[in-house]
Amino acid sequence: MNHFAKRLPLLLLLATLPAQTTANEAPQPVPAATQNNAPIRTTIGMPKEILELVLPGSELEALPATSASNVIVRIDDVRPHGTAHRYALTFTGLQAGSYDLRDFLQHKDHTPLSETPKIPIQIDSILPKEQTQPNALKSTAPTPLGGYATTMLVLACSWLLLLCVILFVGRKRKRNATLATQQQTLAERLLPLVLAAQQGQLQRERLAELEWLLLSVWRTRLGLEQRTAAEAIQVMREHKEAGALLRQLEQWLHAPSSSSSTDVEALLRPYAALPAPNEPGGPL
Amino acid sequence: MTRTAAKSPERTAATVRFIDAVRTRVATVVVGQDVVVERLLIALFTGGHILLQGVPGIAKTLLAAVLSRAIDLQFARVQFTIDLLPSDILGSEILDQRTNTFQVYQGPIFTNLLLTDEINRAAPKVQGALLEAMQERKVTIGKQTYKLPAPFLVIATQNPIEQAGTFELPEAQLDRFMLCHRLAYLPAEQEKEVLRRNLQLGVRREDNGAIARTEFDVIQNEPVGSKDDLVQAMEAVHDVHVSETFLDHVIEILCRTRNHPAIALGCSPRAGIALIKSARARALIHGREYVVPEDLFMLSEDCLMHRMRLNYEALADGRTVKSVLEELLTDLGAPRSAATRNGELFAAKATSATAAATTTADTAS
Repeated sequence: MNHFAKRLPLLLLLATLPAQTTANEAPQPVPAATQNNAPIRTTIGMPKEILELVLPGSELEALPATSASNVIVRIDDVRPHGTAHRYALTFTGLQAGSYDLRDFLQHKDHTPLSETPKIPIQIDSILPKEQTQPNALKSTAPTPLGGYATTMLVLACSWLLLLCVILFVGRKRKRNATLATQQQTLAERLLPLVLAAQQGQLQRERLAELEWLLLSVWRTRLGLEQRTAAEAIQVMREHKEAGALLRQLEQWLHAPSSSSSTDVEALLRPYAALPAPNEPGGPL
Repeated sequence: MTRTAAKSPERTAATVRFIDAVRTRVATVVVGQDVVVERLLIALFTGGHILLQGVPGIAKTLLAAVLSRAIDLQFARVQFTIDLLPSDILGSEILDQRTNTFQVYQGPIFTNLLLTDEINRAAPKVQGALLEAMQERKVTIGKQTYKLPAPFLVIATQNPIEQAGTFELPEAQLDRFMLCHRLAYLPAEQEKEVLRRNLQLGVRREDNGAIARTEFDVIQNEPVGSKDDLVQAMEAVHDVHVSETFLDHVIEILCRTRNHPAIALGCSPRAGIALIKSARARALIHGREYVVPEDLFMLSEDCLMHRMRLNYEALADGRTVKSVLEELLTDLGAPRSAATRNGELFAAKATSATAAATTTADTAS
């Protein structure tokens, strides 16, 4: 509501614009002010335009302005009007008082302005007499928080903040979860599988994971991380201790119908107590 | 769960002897290259095709020739060039002017072992015709469809350098090759042995002149095995046991290639099939009745790398398919969500690995 009240003068001004344009397109022959001999009024420093002013005689021009000039006149447009001329003038008053605009005009051919009718103008002063300085600005109360622009700004900032929260907090949480899974040591991941397998409770689907982890254990223990997987497994199979254990593991997991003949508990016993990361044989 | 129980230990033992004999025969002509021979045998035993990537002059053709003669297989070689036509490989109908009828001329593809040298030099039309024949194992000439001989193995070669004027095989066509093996230069000692053997070749008198003998002249014509041995080996491969745990491993790797942040195109199900087939054949070659993770690690590069494509970010970071695959294999067993869904984690790990390598280097120095 407040916003509408603020915008009301602007809306009214916009509503008057078409009418003004129409007036410009169909100008009056002579301004009423000049016909009634009533002075055309303006204030100091504010230009005033006179349109469709028909003045007899030869063409007029503005007198050159001097430092003593109280009014400055500019002829915007001149068109012939029978034996007379039709003018569009703009004048700006520099000193308050009543003047005749003829005093600031002259014929181009320098003939006297005897035929030209009087054009009275009145320059008013907004400031009181003797006051030479402009009025001091009145302190206005600050505008209350609100309004369309402020509301939109606040909403945009809030949305951006929310977006940042969604993007970064969620991602960070997910990454932390992933890193937490990744940061589990090999031993921590292997132990539950080994214990479950020893008790015969490991699901068949997890046997593959158990085998990869056991291969990783030996790869780490024998320092083969920098070797390719193919090279590493060949070295592991040729290693005295690792090779024997891995062959038993392969026998258990891959040989046909041999799972019953493999002592799984004994096979996995060496892995049930893997060294901690800071112990010899680690890190795992 | 048992995929296929070991049915005949005798057959396995016979196959192992056959493989040893072939390898010994190959070794009389080709120095080293044990891994390539193994990969060729894997392809032969599983009915897959193999793409060899390597610079010229590392005995790719010689290897194929000696292998074919050792197993008594028909062998043909086609050098791919830009002006090669599909009919140059598949064959065509030729008008017999005496009888005014069309006679079918079968192309070099009608063989057991086809070596296609520099496959990427031929136009895509020719590549497509060959790869279609490889897949379907039959060829249509005119209105007649002909089955290709069994066994049928294509050994294609590709030069990793000199890419100007070549037509790179698209991923869909690369996928048709069960294995893609990257050949490297021989170790210095083996290369010295190559030179030593070459010094002893001498010259061969022919007509009124003489020509310098090559390694091809040394190849013995008597085979050490027959097609029956090969068929027996192919059957023995199917007896190799594949455990459920091994299948889990393969699935784990395939899923990781599809979810890895650096990979734009992961491995197809065909890659998994190829990996298991190859692992079975490798297990047999090594005298095992069941596959083990070692087979997976040893074959993953040849089975998976040519089926993976990195994304632009990874390429811009200077990463290679090999390094990403190695990272995948190293991370097996790690929680998949952690390893595959968080690209930053990979970056952090790469950074820490670099830091660790730097530390190691510093310590060493």
